[in-house]
Amino acid sequence: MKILLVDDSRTIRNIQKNILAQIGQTDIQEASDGVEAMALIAKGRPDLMLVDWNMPNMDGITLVRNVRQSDKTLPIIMVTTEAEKTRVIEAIKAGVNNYVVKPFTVEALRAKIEQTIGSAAGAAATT
Amino acid sequence: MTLDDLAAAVVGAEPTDLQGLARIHQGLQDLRGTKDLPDAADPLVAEAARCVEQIILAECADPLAVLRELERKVAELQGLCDSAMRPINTTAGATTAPSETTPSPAQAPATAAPDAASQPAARPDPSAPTTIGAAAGESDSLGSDPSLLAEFVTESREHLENAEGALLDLETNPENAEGINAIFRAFHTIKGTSGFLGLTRINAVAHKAETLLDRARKGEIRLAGGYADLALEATDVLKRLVEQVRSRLDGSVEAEPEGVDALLDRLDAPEEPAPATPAPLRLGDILVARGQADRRQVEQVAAKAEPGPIGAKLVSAGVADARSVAEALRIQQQASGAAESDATLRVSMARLDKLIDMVGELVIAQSMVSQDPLVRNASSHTLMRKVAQSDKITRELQDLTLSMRMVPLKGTFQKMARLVRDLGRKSGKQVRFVAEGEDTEIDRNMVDAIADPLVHMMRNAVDHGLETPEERIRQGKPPEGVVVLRAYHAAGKVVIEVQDDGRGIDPDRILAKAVERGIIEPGRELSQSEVFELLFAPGFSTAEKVTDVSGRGVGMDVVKKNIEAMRGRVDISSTKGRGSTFTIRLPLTLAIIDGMLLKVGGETYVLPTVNIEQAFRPEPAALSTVKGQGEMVLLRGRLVPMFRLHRLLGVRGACEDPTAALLVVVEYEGQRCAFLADALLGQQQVVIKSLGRALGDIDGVSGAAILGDGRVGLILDVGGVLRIARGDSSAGAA
Repeated sequence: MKILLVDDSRTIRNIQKNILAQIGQTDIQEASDGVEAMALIAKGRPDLMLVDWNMPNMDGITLVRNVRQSDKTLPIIMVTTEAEKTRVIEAIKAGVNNYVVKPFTVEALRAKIEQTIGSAAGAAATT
Repeated sequence: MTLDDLAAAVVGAEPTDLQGLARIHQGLQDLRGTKDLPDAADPLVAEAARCVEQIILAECADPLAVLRELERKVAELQGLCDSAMRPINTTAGATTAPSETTPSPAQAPATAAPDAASQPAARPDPSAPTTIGAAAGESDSLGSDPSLLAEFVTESREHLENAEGALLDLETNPENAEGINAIFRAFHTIKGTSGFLGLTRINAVAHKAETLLDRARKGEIRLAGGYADLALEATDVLKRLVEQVRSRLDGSVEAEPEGVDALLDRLDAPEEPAPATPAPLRLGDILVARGQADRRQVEQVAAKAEPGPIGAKLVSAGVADARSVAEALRIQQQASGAAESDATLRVSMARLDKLIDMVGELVIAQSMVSQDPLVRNASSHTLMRKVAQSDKITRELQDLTLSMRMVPLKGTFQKMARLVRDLGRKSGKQVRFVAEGEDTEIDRNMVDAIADPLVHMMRNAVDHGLETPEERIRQGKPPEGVVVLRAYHAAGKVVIEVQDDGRGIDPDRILAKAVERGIIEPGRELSQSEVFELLFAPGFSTAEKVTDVSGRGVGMDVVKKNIEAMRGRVDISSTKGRGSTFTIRLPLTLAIIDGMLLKVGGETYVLPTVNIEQAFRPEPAALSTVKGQGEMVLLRGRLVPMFRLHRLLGVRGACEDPTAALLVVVEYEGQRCAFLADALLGQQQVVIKSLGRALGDIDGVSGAAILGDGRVGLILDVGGVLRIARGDSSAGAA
């Protein structure tokens, strides 16, 4: 499964890669902001996208809105913090499939990915 | 979505189907305020929306129970609607419920209070552990990964430096939203990362600093005065905490820096220091300043508490026309400095150094080809052209790779800005710091080396250079002193100037001090530049008292030594009562030097031009041997020790007669001496190559260079040669 990580912190991306590796996901692409992510998606659609919310250039919600204009089914998980949780509803309305709160455990992320891939696949089947 | 659709959606909803839930949430929001529902239903809608939020945000122990609760509420809504067809009667439940649609988490317990008894399981428990606690076990394993920690250190340093720069920028430009965002992001990222890595102290500080910045971002507070101090202090403490992580990585155990708890307390109550004044309305200011609107009218419009952007209100009130407002908006935007960032790629220094090394090799290989007799004497024109072409490309490639290691001095300047600000506050002097030419580029390898000397010079400028405000006023100067840090490129060098408008240097006082310290004998006549030169003498300090700021035992002699180690030089100019300027001249890069080619016997040596004062052929009468001091040469009325390079370096077949050869006068650490060489072959820029591990450190030689003819020339290290000379100067004189 090809996963696109979008976060402006390289350390956070590496931590996420580390965690993803522990659940057997190693095909990872990285983008440090929304603009880079858009470029990468244009080159090849990932199977899952993990998006940070607060980023320079193009923030998470703008990225999600842009992606959703052309791609309704790409599974997107929002990576958020406890403090930003108030924005989760807004994010889901913008087209995010699921969210995970930093810092998360291997198990939490695995569960979220399974939920999301399942639900996104389900949504694709019904639409 | 009608209410009936909504009810159907709720019945079919799954707690894990977040998008379905979000659609219900949207449906509920859309319902509010429509004519389908009586006003009395609004609180009920809000409660229903809150249920949805709880399920999505996982703020409840049993989402299924909350979902059933939601079903009941929607059913109740349907009932309300039906009864609305008949004469309206408000329900008792609705009046007790609060009316926000999207309560923040902090308000959640209050929302829960009125009807907590009816569905206890469904409500959030404010005391429940958050995910931070749940992740603690995992954090340990991540937090012990040294590579992640090292990366965290690097990244955090970078973020903190940016934040500091932005904070200082805000001092002069307090409305810069992009700056506030940058600072916010720095704290935000550090908070997020430290959470994963289990660095709880860093996490706590970053979290609270982020909260402060969030308030600034929302415009609740203005990041100036006490708030700015607090934010700067937070970056400071975070820096120290990050450095602690660094030293832990190196295996040393360091105590936690002081002041963390105090800072945390202050961040909890940032209002303790005097709160800042509200921001002025800028758009209106621009219009007034441009003469396109009347201030009184603008203020009248601004005073009306109507929602909406001020620009539109000004236009509709007829205070200014749309074009001027648009122009003013553009100016405002430009001022906010939404700087476009060049696309960049981060490459490790090690790889870049390797690239520069490889290009160096290529240049050598190329010159070996082009200087080869077979090529040089070739009769083929096309071959010559091809060689010349690849020569040119190689040279351009070399320039390009060297320029890649050049970085702007901005970071260093920001540190100095910060330093001057703190120094001024500490010493009770009013200081305005002016930075000029912070985009001037310098070799990355020199950035760190130049920081220490600069810190020292800035300290001197503020502490010794500038007077107290009272003293300045007495002398008819403005109370605020100015310290200028200026950088520019001139004649292939980077020039950095530290200038103050303080009291200047008093030559008489320096002379007196130097005599008192035994640095010079009394009664000597010295030129002004020679007097200033005394400041660099070891053990010299003009400060009458040792203060907290300056006088920490590191003298200007160390400054000079550090700069000379980079093959640079320092000069002083000063006018008593008007101020002083310290000028540092540095080579653009450490990889290339200007060298003088010296012929010694059959060898060619490179002597860095910065060390050379002059070269001359001595008259026989100028030469003498002083007992116990070796050979001397008379130079402008002074005896200067003379050393024969070929003896020091063990070269055979060199010219033994100084009057038939050449003396090169060099200056090193304030002392002059003359080197005897056969001839001067010319001046050349050479690329410094290290001698490699096999040869190791050879005294007197700092590296090697490939000369124009493809041969290797050793680069002389003047200090090292002098050490050899002092070691066996008696042998040389015998």
